[in-house]
Amino acid sequence: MINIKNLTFGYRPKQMVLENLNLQIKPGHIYGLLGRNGAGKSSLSHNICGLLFPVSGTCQVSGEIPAGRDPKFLQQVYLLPEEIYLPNVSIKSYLDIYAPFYPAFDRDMFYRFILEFDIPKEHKLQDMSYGQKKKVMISFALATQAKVLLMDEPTNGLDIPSKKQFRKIIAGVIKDDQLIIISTHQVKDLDSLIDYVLILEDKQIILNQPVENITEKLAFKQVINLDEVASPIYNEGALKGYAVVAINHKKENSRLDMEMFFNALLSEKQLVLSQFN
Amino acid sequence: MQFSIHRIWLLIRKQWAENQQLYILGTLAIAGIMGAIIVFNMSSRLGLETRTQQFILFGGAIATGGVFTSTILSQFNEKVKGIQALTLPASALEKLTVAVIYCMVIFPIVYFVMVYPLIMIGHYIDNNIAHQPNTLYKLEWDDNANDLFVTYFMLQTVALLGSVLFKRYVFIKSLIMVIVVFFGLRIINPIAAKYIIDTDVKTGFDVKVRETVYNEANKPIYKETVKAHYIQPNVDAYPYADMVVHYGGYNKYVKGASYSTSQTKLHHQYNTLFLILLYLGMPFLWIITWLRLKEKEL
Repeated sequence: MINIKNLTFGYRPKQMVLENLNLQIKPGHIYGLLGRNGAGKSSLSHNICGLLFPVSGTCQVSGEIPAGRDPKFLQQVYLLPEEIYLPNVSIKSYLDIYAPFYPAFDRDMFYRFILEFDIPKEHKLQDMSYGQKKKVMISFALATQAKVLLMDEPTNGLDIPSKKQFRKIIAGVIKDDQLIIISTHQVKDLDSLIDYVLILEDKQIILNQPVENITEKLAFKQVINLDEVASPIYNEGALKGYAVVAINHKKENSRLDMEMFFNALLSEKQLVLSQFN
Repeated sequence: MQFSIHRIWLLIRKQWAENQQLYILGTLAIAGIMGAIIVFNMSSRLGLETRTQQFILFGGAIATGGVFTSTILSQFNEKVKGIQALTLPASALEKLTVAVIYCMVIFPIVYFVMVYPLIMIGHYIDNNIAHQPNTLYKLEWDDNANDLFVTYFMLQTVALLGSVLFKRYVFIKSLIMVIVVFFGLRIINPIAAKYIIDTDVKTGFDVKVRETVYNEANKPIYKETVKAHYIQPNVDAYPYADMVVHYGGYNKYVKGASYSTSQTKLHHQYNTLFLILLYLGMPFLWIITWLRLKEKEL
């Protein structure tokens, strides 16, 4: 569905943010796009939805070139940015203005999510809190039923119950012909939701793996002594002992700790990547 | 090229729904400012003269229209609004068409419908209460009105281009662009004209002049083509103006009356063609604006 070949992009001629980046993404999955600050996550998302144009290389989404910004393409790709602009209108007016631009927009679905998020329908958007505005926009983005949904830090500003609702809604809404890319630093909010991990480092996607592959190759453990673990890759001191990422020699089942995995990859890049090659 | 009337209508509706409060307040503010200008001019010694009425009407339209136009595509220059504006499922051509409709159709209609009655009221008071013998400026399609309308639409077109060319201080930068182009042409044109005509001030040059004699009612009564010798041509011409050559002080007797020459206009036979090119400049600038909008990145 998304096919990127040798994509190079930069805001200045001699300062590339992405260089010879390759990425193939299939529909039916939720992808977590992880990377340090300034690694180029937003630049990649913006290239995918046609807000930025590559310096060289190709980017194809559903067979279309995003830079063309064809209305039919834009109906199929929705970007939910971290900072959102909302006009001073009611939710109903907002729907009346924007929903007709998306032929597959499902109003019932939108109002169902609004109800789940406990948003007062009659309020004007400008009178709402940041978190409420975000929930309205999440509901809108999902109701467009776009084939590609790009979300930049969607859980920023959401309270704890809302994060749970968000996970529940997203997990229940994705169809086989849709894909969602969530770019976030709040990995703990979403590690149960994401089924593919993309890591952007050194201007390239250095890892594109399903969660089950990661937990098959690596084990995530809590131990009192580091001696208890064979082949540890990375550890962090925890309240009781250590949180450890180790090579999963014994094919043990463990739950992916996205934050630990990301830190392990950054500190022992070659060793971690070698497990997947 | 994607173009849908349905999406144009959706975009027009969106523009109004999102900005109606601003537009209503802006309209009232324009009415207030124009009203104050009219009252200020009524208090002058000659009252609200016809020429002043015309200047207020068109000068106000050009100034307020310029400000309005420079904001119409401003959302594309802001990061947060720009994401929504650029990813909204409509083509660049549709988005530009809506901007053109707002700036070149809706705004002038609203402006003239609002300001002309204010001028009528001002004239009524000026005429009937202040007893000034001024006549009301009537919106008629003559050469002067044509020039003013062309100036209005040309400047709005430039402002529209400026709104996608510049990210910040759109109005100021567009104004500077207009001033640079205007004075640039004003300076270059006479130099180019002198170079093209290649006149020698010392020896002058021979030309054929078609003389027309006008009566008191400004009607031509006599025409003749004569040979003349110009010594001091004045080629300080504005772009699109007929070139004027000094030819004053020659007397001629026609039907017993003495007539004197004032000046000679060098009227180019292809003037109309150049005027058409000027008018075509507007859609040409729209195309540049469209291409720039298509290539606009966040």
